[in-house]
Amino acid sequence: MRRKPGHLLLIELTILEAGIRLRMEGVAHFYGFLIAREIKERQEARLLTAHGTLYKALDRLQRLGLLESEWEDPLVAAQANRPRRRLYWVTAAGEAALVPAAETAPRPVAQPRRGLAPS
Amino acid sequence: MNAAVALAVGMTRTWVALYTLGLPRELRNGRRAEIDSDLWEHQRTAEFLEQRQGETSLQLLTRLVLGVPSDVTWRLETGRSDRSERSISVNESGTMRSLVVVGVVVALFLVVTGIGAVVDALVQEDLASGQAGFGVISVLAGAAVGSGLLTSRRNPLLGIGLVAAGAITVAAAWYWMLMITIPVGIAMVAIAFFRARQTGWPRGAGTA
Repeated sequence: MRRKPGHLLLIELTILEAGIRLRMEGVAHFYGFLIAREIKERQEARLLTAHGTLYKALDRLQRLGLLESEWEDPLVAAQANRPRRRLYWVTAAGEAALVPAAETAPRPVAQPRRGLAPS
Repeated sequence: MNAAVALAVGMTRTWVALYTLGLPRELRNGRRAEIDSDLWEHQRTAEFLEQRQGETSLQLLTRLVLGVPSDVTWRLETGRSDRSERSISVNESGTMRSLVVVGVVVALFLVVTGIGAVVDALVQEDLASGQAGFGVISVLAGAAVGSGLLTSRRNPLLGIGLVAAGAITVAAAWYWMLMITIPVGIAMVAIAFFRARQTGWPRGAGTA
């Protein structure tokens, strides 16, 4: 699908907004499932964002420089007895992109969605 | 983990393994590890919330199914950027791209139909009838055909092999539709073959 350079989809805006909100609540880094759950709770949706939708959006945001990520220290994951998490955070460019993009796009939070976003 | 959750997790992992075939190792392993982590977190959260296992499996399957279009477009985009990074000079014709899109749509139909059969069997709690098995086979065959078509340029033998295996499986599983599945299967294999040929395969250039 061809998109205008820099144009952000609703799911991408929602991820940026949720990431910033988590940081304001003291969560510096987020991982895929955490952001999916945050979006679900915030939007009072019935289901979590689909895998493909979520990770494609995270990948694109990272390519645009709006998110950065690093893999969790393997020791931390091993101590918690779980798979390693890929930790993301919103960059300064991501914060800056959110304001003008939100002005021209439908408000992600003001329109509660039921269910998953397929693309 | 009960059988329904294990099935949903297995189907998700299989789909991820298929659509990441042919990608650079770092990218492929990264996506697989990330989905593994997500599946693990989802299950632990469901346990913490004391969610019914049937509900958890349905959620996992729904997240899988609704994400498939994004997975396919992500794979196409990622494969394209990876090819351009490797400076492959062979351009794909518009006709071939259209044929691949049609083939992927057919494969998606199989995946969606198969998942529908599995979900229906889970909802009806009728796992013994063979419907769930038919669904799983259809999903795997569809995923094999789709991922084979997508990887046939990067890895011709693997791509053509996957398409052929998927087409044969579909012909066997949907045996009452042989008049349709055999010609469509042959067409899918032909698309993968001629797509691979565009890269110069089998004379060495097909390793791109």
